[in-house]
Amino acid sequence: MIFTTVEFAVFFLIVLIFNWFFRGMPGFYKLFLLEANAVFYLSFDARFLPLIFLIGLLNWGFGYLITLTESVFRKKLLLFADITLSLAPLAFFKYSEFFAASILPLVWDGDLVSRLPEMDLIFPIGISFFTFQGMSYAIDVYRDKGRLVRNPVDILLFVSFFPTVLSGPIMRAHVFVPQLENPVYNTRSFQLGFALILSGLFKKIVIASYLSEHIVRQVFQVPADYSSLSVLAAVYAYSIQIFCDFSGYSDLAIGVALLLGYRIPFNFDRPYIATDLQEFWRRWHISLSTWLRDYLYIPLGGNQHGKAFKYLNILITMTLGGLWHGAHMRFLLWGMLHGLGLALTHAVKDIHRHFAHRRPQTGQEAKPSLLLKIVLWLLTFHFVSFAWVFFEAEDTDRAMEIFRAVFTQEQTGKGFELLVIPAIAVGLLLNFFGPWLQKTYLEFQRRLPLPLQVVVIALICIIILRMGPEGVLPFIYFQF
Amino acid sequence: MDNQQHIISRRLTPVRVVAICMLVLAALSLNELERLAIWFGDRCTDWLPGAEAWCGKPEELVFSSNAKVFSSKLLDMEKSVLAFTHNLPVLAASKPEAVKLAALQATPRPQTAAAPKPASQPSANAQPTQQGTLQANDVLIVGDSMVLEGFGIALQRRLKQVAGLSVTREGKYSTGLTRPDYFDWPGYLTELLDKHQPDLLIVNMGANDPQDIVEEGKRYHVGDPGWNAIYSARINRFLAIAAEHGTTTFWVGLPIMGQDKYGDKIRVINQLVASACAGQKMAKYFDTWNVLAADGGAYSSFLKNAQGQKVRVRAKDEIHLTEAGGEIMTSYFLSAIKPYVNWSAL
Repeated sequence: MIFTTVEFAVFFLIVLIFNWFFRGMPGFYKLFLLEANAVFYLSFDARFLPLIFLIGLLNWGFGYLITLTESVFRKKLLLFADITLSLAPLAFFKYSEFFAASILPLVWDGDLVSRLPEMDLIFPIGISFFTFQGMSYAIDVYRDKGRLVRNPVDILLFVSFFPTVLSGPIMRAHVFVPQLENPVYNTRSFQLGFALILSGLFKKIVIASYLSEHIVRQVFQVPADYSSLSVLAAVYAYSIQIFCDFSGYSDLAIGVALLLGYRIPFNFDRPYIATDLQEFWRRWHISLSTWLRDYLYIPLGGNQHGKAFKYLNILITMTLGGLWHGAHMRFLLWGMLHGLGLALTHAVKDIHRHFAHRRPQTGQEAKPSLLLKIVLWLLTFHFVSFAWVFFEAEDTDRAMEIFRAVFTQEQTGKGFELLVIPAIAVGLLLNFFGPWLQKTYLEFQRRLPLPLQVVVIALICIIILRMGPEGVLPFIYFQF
Repeated sequence: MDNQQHIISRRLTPVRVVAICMLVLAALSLNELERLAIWFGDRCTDWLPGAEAWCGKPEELVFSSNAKVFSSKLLDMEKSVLAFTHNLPVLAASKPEAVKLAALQATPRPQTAAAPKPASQPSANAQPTQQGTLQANDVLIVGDSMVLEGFGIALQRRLKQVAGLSVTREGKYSTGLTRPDYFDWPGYLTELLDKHQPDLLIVNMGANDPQDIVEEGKRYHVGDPGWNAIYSARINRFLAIAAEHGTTTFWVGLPIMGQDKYGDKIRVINQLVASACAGQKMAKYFDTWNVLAADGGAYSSFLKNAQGQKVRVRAKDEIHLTEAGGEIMTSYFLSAIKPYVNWSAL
């Protein structure tokens, strides 16, 4: 039941009706929601539903045990056990084949692949997301006893919440759990919910699908078939496609949750307006980057042990963050590139700060000029876009084929359809003016009488669905 | 007071949200009624085996005619927009200087994949499709996800190495010949053939076809005589469209599948395609069932590549091919078509 299917629309309508009907009966309501989450997950794969609940119970149990002891050593031991046990299924299902087929052959001659159990058809969808979510709860409790949630059902609901279970946003328990008792309940949040659903549908079905079908897929598969300019256009198009695909998915998830009365933190904040990589990561997949910061970068030591360690920690965090996206060398390389870029950004800023201190104080910090901002924006956007090539291309050789085509500018071949340019432009405009557009639309919707609101929402839905290709393409982030 | 009333009338309460969602869904359903009826029919025969009598007849549903009028108007609008977009110019295309085809020497390419295994029944009616070999300069590869991923990519990349050959690959995910209500392959094929004017059409599809066919209110299961007859007729029509355009068709059969139940249905489809091709002058079927099988003929997700490393040749769904698998299929297919084409690089 992917969000953009009829099945999901019917399922959601039923859940929505019962959601508001049962909301007044707290105990029963939670069981109902748990049931809804289970049905949603069962529609993908019945076998792994127990795994989600196991991850939930595991983290709830260890969280509870951690609060029972005062000994720091025991607390650490419990946390270590929790993290190891939580990561074990993730490592097994997601990384064992990668390790056996790609990493091990680099150092060992033997054949581990044949000895591994048959791993086909058994991938627990959303495992990277619900594992991280579950772990964040136990670590939060380790850091602050006040974060303890007494009712295990609340944690089960937290890890299996159907709008976010497949591809995030990765929530925190202290944000979600209190909402189980106090739903967000006003006209504005409901209207925002509808607006976000429409925005998500448009981004995914119209822009991302169009770009994928009409330029990205073909060029990334056979770059040699296209002219240099077409390959460059495909690189830009992919940047827009992945933004519209993933932020569109997040919009849908947040919108659906809002209609149920839950507020989920935003996952994207106009990422392509960033003028440096640090800013980019504050705006792109916010729930993952803050997770990595809080639960990986800071425990590694963060910036507490000098500059060199700070850069190293950034590199480690980003490389592992890259690998989180998938068990493939290309994700590792992509993460490493971002790690290097980010470390370099920090180094430049550190040097700049160092010299700024030495200069006589003028009372006001100099702001970068508009020209410098534009240059920095172009640099950041191009770094991010070219890094996506490693992320999307089948392997490094394919990525190099793409770079050769772009940078030599000599390749002859096929062109691309004219509509690709407006599609890229609309995607970029959505990135720049998304919040403004959302506000304007909400103002417009608010002024309409209720029956007209229904007509407007239905019409926009129909138009979006009609504008999309036959059959909706899978969301990019589902594979993670 | 009036103003307050006004505000209250626009306020969204949970009940109103539910009502809005219901109405929106109702509007969407009306718009998509025909598809929904078939979708519902598919589901209810899964749930209730005896339900075929009442849930497979979209034309009998109330409102259907109204919805169809509305849908067809929207479709007309959509078509006119699409017609407009088709006439838009293509940007950034650049062609190498004109070269004489005859003067070109094909560049041989080292074999990257494992040596192909012979298929179980390579070309039962192994006759060249025409007198001598086919002078194919423009090739069009079409199909479903099998062509858009794995095999299609590998094949296009290899054919790209044949000098003077123009190769285009077009396809649609999740489509096939069993559901013309969902995707109109004959129409799409005609459009593609008119646009690209290929000499050779390479087809690989059918992976989405193991499903019921609903025709004139009746539902047929895969392998039933009725299903076989309808499906064969659809393949024949597909091949006839290509032949009418003067295009030869090479139909690549589907390889062994991981799940037996699904694989048995794919075998039925392969057989129907093979016999349809045998009956058409300008079509040829290439069996690939065993190309990706392990030594004992069983399904395997991993095979050894040319370097002796075990590589994943099938996606985790045990249906689709990875690019490594696609390369093995391509090597086999290109060696199998060698007698029929004039590409010296093969």
